[in-house]
Amino acid sequence: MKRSYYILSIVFIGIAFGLLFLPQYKAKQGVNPEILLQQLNDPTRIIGIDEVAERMITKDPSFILVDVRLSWDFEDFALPGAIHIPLAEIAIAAENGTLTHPHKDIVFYSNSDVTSNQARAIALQHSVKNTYVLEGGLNNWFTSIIMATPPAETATQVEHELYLFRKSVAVYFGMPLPNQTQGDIKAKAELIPLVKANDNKESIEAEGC
Amino acid sequence: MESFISTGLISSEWSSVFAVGIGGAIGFVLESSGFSSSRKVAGSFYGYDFTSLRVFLMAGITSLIGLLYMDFFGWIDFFSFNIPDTYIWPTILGSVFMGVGFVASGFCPGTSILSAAIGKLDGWIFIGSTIVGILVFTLLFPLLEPLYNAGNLGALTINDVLGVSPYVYAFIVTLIVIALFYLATLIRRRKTSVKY
Repeated sequence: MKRSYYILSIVFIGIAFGLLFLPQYKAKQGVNPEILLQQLNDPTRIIGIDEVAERMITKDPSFILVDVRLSWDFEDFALPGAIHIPLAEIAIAAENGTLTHPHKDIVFYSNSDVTSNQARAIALQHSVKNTYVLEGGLNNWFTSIIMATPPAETATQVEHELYLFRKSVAVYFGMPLPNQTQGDIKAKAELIPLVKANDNKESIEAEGC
Repeated sequence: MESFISTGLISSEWSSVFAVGIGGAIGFVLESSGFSSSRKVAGSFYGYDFTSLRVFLMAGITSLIGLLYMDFFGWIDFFSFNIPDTYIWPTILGSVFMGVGFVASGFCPGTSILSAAIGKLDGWIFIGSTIVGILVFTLLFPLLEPLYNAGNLGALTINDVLGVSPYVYAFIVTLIVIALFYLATLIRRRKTSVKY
């Protein structure tokens, strides 16, 4: 064998030997595809606007609102207390621990719920726990809370109470009542507690109707 | 993983220029090394010329070691490479067909194009036969589809199966390749030199 072959062989073995001293690679476990698919389609991922509104007003410390829209959208309008992580940066945030809060619910929102679902999908792939998507996004927030319309007179008590709750939420966040102007709102309106359908059913049954 | 073009490092307008340049450089090196001769590839089987074995194994370990070091320096993410699924039965069968084809013709698809480019008739016949083979395979695909998809073992790598780290695996492969080079030299000494 030629001398150059020996030299080349020694060089290659030396370089390959150096690999043995590199920090050991730990395989990323990732998320099982079947479990991921199950989590992506989990209907409980959707969190209603009323529940989010109530948790915002009560300053619930166990949840984090994440706005995944672009910067200029966030600067135009965002839900109070929300942190801004654009969709393109969700993976980085998941990797560097910004989204790692084992005991908190992470609620993603965007204008609708398409981008927020994508953000949640990325977060799930990075094993972020307790992730939710705001139902209908800010469009739903605007139409259902900010521009809440009164139900028909024949509507159920639940619907009337929901309307009152949403109006009080709108007032809390700075919207005037129908007979008020913006300047009249100096103090926070008293929040009418959200009456859930089940709670109300119980009360109706108690009344014997 | 992205190419230089998709990352914007090289604009798409220049992609064809780079493709022609890189292709030409590879062709030049292969032709200079004698790969346009069908006897070169066939020599690995008959034992009188192990150049192709050396070239491809050396290319393999160079890229393996190089990529692992590049990953260490943070230039690439080695572990994000796409690993295609292993279809064990069609792989074995396809390898046998390819091996027989290599020995019978003395070409692999790349060297046949190289050979055709310098005007060799056997290179053109190989390319024509490849096209006929592709056509026959396409027409018979409905019949061959169960075999085509048989034995999917998923995205397997040998180091995962063996339970060793990629670094240890790369070192072992390097030792095996060097040993093969030495073995090839021993076989080569026993064979009569072939002039071509």
